[in-house]
Amino acid sequence: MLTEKIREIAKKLLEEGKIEAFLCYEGTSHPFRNRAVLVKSPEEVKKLLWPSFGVINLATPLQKLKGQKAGILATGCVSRAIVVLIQEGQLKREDLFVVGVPCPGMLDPSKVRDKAPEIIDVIDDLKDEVLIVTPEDKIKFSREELLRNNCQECRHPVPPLYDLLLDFSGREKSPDPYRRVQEIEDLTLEERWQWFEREVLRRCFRCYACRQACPLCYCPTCFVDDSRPQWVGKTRDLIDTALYHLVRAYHLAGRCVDCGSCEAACPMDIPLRLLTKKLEKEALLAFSFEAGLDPEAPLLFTSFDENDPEDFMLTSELKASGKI
Amino acid sequence: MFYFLPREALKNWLSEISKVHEVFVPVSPSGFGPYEGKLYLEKKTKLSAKEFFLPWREVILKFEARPGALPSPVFFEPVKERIIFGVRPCDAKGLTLIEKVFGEDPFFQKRREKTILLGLLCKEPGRECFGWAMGVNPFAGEGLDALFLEQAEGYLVKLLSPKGEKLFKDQEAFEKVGEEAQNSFKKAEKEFLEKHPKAPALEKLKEADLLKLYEADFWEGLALPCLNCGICTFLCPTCYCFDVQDEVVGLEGERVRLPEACMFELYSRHASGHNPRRSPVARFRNRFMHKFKYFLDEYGEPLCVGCGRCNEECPAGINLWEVIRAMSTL
Repeated sequence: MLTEKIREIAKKLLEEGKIEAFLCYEGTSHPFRNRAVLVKSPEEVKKLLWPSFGVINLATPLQKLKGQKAGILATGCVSRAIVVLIQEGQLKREDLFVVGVPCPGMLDPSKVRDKAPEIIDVIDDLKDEVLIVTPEDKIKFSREELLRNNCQECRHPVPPLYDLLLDFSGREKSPDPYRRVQEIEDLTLEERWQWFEREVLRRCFRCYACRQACPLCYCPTCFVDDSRPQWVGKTRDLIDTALYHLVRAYHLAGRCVDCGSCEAACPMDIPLRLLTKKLEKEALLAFSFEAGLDPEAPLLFTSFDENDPEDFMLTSELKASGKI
Repeated sequence: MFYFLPREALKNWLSEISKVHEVFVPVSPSGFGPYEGKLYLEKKTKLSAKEFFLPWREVILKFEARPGALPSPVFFEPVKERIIFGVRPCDAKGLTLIEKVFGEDPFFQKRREKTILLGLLCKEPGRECFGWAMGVNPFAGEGLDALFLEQAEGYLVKLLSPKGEKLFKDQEAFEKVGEEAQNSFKKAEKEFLEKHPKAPALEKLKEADLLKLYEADFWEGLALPCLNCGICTFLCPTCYCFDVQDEVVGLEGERVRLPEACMFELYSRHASGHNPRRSPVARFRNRFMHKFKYFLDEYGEPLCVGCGRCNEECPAGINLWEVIRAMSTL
């Protein structure tokens, strides 16, 4: 149903010449992977579909199309990434026609993958149920169980920026977006380091898929690729890997829209999103700031308010001793 | 020569040989590790055994980081005699392809010499496997010292090299088997090959005009979803490109070799700053042209063993077959 609506609007926009191309997803031979595709003629729109596994943010390939008037299918997080890219001068609003969808959330390939030894198809009703089709059987699962973590924790299923919003009822706002972050916060300092070393550092082999998949990692030369001077060693040395992941996450502070592309791209299933989610929580609690909601608004790091809390600059000892 | 190992004797035997050799096995869906009782044999692992031969960090030279100091002679990291069990035949075949290029490379060769590779045939081809289409016969066990075929009661083991014969000469757990068992191996091989032919695409690719392929207009569309990350190259059992880095701490310097990916902008950036493969689509094209044209023209085989890891793990959903199809039907 959503697929038909997408095809219809893409066809109309292309026929009317409002756009030169439409960026969306298509199916692949793999039952739980979708792929970004760019269509340039009304005849091609039959390729397009609503992606239950559209785990890579379309705002990433969108940046390859600079200068073309392009339409794009945008869920909440795609739209928010576009907003940040406009705020940061990477995209021009007038080049885009944003077709928004109140997002029902997407399914996690790594949650679906292990449900049966052989999976032929995955049927998603976009509401309550997912059927996993095996050679022998159809197995029913609750959709909630198979949703991506970032969709379960999504605060903005409805796109904040669009030219046209498809008529669809998506997910509600998550009431508990920081549960997983909280679980890590509750650990002791030592346990947290162990978690970071075990879950992230020892498994990462520096393929940089997290960086490449991120719609907001667009630096022409990433700090890990700088060779004059070279800031970071390039092997799987734990310290170098730690530096990469920490700097990557911090570069996204106040910018990350929690689309989960980094985590979805990771071939080793590293829970990368938790690092950026923690920073999102900090920005929200300390500055009541959420990224990517208004293209006209200032960015977190370019705005200052006298009432901003400054606790983090001061040590608790100074405070306790009454010196400040 | 063929031997037989009862299924329940496998772990015992691995423990036994661990007393004498360093033994590595697939320990989880992610990859290999030292044998400590854990064994994952259900499917092939994400990371292949390539990392034992082209390691993530290989010191090739040591030096004192001060002006005028001369570097040490070539440095070889000590490698113990080791056995790697549970290597899939496609991955071992991948090593033979790497060897075509690294035949003269002393670091790779040293690691090859010190290693006994014991293969394990898959029960069924995986979802994305297409080794046979690339001309790989898993039953031939190219690159392996011995090959295990799982049967109802245990493993039938075919010896493939003098190294393999030497290892199994005095292994009590294994019994020698007669002609009947050998025939069952041959039968399984014959059945497999009848069902799984080589892809006609390879012949077409051999004949295809290199420049026309290079200039074809399908690259742009195929490369659009590509993120230019390094997943496919690092997981690939045949990708061998590397980088060399000097790592200096205080006065101690080490020159290390590490895997690199042609998908990265840095990989092809020259010292001058010029980059012949500056655009993402140029880097995408290079990976496939290397595998299915340059290497094929040079060595008569594609630089691909059809393990399917790239198809399985590509986050952007790129399927290698769609690229081969486009290239072979130009």
